[in-house]
Amino acid sequence: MSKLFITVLNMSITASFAALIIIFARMLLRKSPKIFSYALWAVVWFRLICPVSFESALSLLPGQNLMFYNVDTLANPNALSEQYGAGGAVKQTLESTLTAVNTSSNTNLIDTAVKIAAAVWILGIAIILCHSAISYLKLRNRISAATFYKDNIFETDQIHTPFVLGLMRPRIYIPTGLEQKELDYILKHEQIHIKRRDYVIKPIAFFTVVLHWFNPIVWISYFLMSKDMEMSCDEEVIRQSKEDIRVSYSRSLLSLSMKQSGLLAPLAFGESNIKARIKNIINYKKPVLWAICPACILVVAISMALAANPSDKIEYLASAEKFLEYKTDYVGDASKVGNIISLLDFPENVNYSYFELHTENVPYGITVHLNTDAKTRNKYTGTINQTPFEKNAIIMFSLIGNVDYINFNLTDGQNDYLIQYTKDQADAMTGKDVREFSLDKKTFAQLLKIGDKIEESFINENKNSSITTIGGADGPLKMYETDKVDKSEQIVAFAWEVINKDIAYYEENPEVKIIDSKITRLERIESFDDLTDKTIDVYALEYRLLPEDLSKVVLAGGMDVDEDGWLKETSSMGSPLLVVSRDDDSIEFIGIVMTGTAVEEGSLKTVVRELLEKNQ
Amino acid sequence: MSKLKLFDAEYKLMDIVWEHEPINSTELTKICRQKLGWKKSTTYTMIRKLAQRDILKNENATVTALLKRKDVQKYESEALLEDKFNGSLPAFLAAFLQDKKLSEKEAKEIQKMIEEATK
Repeated sequence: MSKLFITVLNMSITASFAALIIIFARMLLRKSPKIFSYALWAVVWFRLICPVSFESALSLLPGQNLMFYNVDTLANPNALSEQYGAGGAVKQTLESTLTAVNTSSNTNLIDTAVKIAAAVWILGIAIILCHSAISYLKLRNRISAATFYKDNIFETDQIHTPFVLGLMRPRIYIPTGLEQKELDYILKHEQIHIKRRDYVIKPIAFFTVVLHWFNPIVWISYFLMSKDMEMSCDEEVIRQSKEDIRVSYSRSLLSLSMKQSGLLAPLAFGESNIKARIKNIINYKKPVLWAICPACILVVAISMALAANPSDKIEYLASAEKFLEYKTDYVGDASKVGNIISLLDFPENVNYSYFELHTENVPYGITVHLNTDAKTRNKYTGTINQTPFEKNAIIMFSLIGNVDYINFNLTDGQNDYLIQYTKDQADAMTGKDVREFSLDKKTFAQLLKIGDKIEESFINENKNSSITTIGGADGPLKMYETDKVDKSEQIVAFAWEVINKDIAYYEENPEVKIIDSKITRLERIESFDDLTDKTIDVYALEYRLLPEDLSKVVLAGGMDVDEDGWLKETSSMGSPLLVVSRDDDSIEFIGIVMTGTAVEEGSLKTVVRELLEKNQ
Repeated sequence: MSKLKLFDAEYKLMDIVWEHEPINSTELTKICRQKLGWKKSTTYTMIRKLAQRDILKNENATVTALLKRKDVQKYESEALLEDKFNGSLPAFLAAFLQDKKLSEKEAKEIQKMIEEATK
């Protein structure tokens, strides 16, 4: 539900920008036939209903970073801390209001706020729909005894203004006792509505407004669109008539003008906006071709520009330009290095503190000191989670000439955790000399884009794996009730760290390539409260690795392959068990013990105790 | 609401009843479908409502009017007179005859009516 709400919110914001531009464009089109203004609204409604669109550099919409960019970051506060760079407006504002609150409850608060907002949103929709349903039924009741006039026209003395109703077979309802001349105009007007399928457009527009009821700009758009719809319909009646009927048509309009009540106003002849409509009718001149062409072009151009999403190319180019300003050949150039680092994006809850240069001896290095909290630091201790740092390292290697290694030092004030990257690693990751990316702006923008893409796909993969594991048939991840989901995700991350080590081990043989991996079991099998001051949990981990070519894998003792050609986790020492220590607000990976060892010792507890002692 | 006040739809139904009475109710729904575009249920609802107001009766699936067309017309014209002309017949006639030429035959008929009414 929260997810859906965020999607609607995003569409609402995008559409609001489009609506504001269109309100402006309408002013330019004031003198043109109203059909153009009416057509312009289509793009707003497209934006309100359709969450996706194509990308174009010509888009008039602001960059995605102004919007609630990533739905998942909000719907899943855990992904939020993993997510990097793609900040959202709501996220930012919420966070700035919450800066005083400590970070661990921060994401929960956002989550709760979104949930409450989503509930209010649904409630609002329900109320408006109920109200509309009642008004609609009342109206239906009033016209139930309308009598056949001719064709699809029915008359009744229960209504005061004519309108079209019905989706499949629209009918025109007219009040009784109309004068023949008035009736002619009305029927012409309503028939044009029917021909243009306005009787379908209006309800669709209405339900869209209901969906976006919290957005006043959408309401304004709805009323302006209705006005443009009626005006262009009036113009069409006058255009089609052989004589000049402007005055008599206006008079009929006036005599039937009745304020419409109810939200789901059907297409009525004598609707509100009478004054504006009469003014428009009196001023109407049959359009000439040379006046129509520019209006046409403007409508098409604006529609395209608003239908397209902004291309990220521009953003990447802009940030590439900034980075390249500080490109340097020497790691010793502290001011440039400092500027580069300050341009980097670090993940949620990780803040740049200062940097250190190691330039006395080769290899030259840079250490970037980052402040964070214990929870975040622990999160990044698994190699699987380190992609954001990987990307930053690549950027730095590309821009800084003779640097050989880069360290990121994460500290929570008490404990440090160091992530190190070397130039060789960066070259290997990008597949060529990483320096080449900084040759020109375009290539560097590409590097930035690739970095983001890798990160995104990584986050998605990671998410999938955790979902399959938690819901896996082999054994769901059992947690204490007090535990939050994000802890289970951390355990999954620990599991992947172990698995990745195993993959690396297999791939030491250059002929072996592991092309797929999955966790088949991750289940807490034991819990010790009396070993340390924290609780120690032991998780059974089973997983499968798919080698590209099984025949290349040398199966040592105890290694096993399942019937589908996947390598099992077992070795001569049995299967791995994850040992994790946790308290109320943090969780830490201690290490692994093997089931074989536990059997030999005769007690799991002994083995775990040994591991803890070894770690101290 | 006065018993005799008929809405447009009610008057149209009564029109059919007056013309065909006594009429089988199924037959009536058929005529209403054809002439008024009503569904069967609409016609039955209308019959029930009018029966409740003793404007018609529906017994053994036969519909008969309890009111004469003349009564309703009399009521309608009196209501119109009261509403729009403060009950003044000359004011009504003046408005009615404005921009209108009566044929000799019509004039004679009216004259006769007036004579009878003032006797």
